[in-house]
Amino acid sequence: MTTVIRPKRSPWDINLHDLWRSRELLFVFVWRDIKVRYRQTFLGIAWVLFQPVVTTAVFSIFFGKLAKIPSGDLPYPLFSFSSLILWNFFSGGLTLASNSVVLMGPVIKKIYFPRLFIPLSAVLTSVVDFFVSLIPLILMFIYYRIIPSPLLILFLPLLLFMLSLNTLGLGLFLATLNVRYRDIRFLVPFFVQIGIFVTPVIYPLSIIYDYRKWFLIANPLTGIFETFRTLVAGSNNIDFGLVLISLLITLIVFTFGLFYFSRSEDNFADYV
Amino acid sequence: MSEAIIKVNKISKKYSIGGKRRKDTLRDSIMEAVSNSSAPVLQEHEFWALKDISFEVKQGEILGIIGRNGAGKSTLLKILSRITAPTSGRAEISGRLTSLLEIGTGFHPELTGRENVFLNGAILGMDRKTIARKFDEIVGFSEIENFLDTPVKYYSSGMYTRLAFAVAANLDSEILVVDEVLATGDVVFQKKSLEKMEQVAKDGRTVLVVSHSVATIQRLCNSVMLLDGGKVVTIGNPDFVIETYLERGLSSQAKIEWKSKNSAPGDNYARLKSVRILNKSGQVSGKINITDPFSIEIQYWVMRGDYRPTAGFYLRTQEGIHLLSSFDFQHSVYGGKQRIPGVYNSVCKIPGNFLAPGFYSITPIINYYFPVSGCNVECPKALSFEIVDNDDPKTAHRYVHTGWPGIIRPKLDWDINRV
Repeated sequence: MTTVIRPKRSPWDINLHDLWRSRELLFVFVWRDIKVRYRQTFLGIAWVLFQPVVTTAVFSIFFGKLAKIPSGDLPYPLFSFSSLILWNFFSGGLTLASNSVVLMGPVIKKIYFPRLFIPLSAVLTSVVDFFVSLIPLILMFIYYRIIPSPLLILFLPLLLFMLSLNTLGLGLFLATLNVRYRDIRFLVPFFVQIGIFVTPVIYPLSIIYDYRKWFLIANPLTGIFETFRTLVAGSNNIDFGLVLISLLITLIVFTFGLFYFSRSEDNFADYV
Repeated sequence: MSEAIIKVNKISKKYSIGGKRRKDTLRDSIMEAVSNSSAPVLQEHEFWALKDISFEVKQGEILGIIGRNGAGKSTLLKILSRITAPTSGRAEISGRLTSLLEIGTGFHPELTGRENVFLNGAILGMDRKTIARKFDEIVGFSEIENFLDTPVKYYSSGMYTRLAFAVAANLDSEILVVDEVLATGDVVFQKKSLEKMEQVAKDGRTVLVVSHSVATIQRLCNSVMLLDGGKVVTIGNPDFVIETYLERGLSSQAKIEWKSKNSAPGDNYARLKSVRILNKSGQVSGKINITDPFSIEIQYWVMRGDYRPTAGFYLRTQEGIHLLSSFDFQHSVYGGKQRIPGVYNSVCKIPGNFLAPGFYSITPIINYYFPVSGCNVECPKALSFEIVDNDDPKTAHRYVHTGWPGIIRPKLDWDINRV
């Protein structure tokens, strides 16, 4: 086994061999985060469930009942809950990922391991949380007697993959910025707060008209949220054009994040 | 056996620090961009921590790396352990390299000892099967069997260190890297690393060790590299290299100066100008006779009149034991007061017949205090000097010529009465 040490030739000079060889570490990181979170099993799970359930209740009262935001074929609570579990995955993963590198600073300064695993494990941890929050969703299906489209089984992995790429792409970008500028961590919650309004989370895309609709479509999360809710409502009426646009923008976001991260990952130890 | 296991070819590493005001926050960056008229942007200060380093290490070689502070020793180890990338150049390492610096890194306080063994092992690059196979050995070594399922946050620091060391020590690697300079302070750890190093060396594995201790290097290494200013001065026979090191005065640095205020370490309140070690006749000297008093002179800019600065230093032995700290706030005129901006010179007199012979380091510091306290500058081990004993009958040991134990050697008063 020979290790070659040299500066990166370009940000695309990513050592895939190295990533593959240390893949076990990625899962150890996820296992660590899950273990720590669910150490006190009750509180761990309760927290993952509590947040979307309470937010759904609040949203249903204010946006559903008072503001009467239309929710298509879905009862508003189900509409907002299915959006919120996706949103919580995105915002939770993004927050974890953007702080991850700085939090691992002491380790980065002392040991080499693929730096990419740090934000990646943060996003994977959020995937696990997402699956836990599917439990109340299923309960809601039963309560409202709604049968989701069978296509959901097929599309959920794709939608999750797209959402993960977006989370990771932005997370990589913010994590790198955070190493140089420590006030980024104050910016992320603000960014997430704005994000919930410029993404169709509490309202459907269909209530937006004219040019404003194009702004929303340029948001790569739009296609993911819309498709998920369509399928949850039991319809197979997927807007494939929208999914394709979102997929394309998702890939751009991810590539950009990866590029930005890869450009300085070798020197994180000098700055964290 | 004579195969080169490490090949280093023209490795260089550039850092940019000091001069430029550190833009730690985005706000600072933006403010700087917006208001480029009000605050002059200081010139970025670049320096080469390493410049065109080339050498080879053979299988089974124990290479010591010596040089004064800032010579690039630690940077070189960081590059070889891939913690940071070189700016240019190339190195090839055949086999696994582990560092004893890594002990306990990545331990999670909420996880149990058992879980942390797996976590730490994985971070250090062991796969699960290897850890499982070595688990009993690690636990046996660490002597914490009864606390395996207790979160490590409840461990005493001794237990913690033992467990951490047990994981690191049971790694199979062809090359072991030890940075004694960075592991200062923790005497137990140092002793353990030394033992581990000797054992690994006996096994015929390769060791790279950075140390300030000439004695350690002389005892362990069969080859030594001397670095200075980021370049290799000489490499080879230990006796010869150590002689060069001592002869050229590289083992001590009695003076450090910053030419411009902008590139000097510090912040907007205070910056260091120079630090010097002066012998009893007021000359800069890195070799002080044990019987002579000497002084440490810290010169610095005070840029703001609205706070209370204090200059001082830490004095450490070469083993890293923090021997003493001293600050000028007890001064009868300036102590506890705000100062008019300007250049100040704080001199601390250290008596003769006080320190034991050996090498010491000085860390100059400027702190502020009242109503809040904090640090403006701390320059770790910026200076180093040697206390020498020329068999002077005026010292504490008088005519005893064998080793005289103790980390300080004051000459104390005795009374003797016949009763």
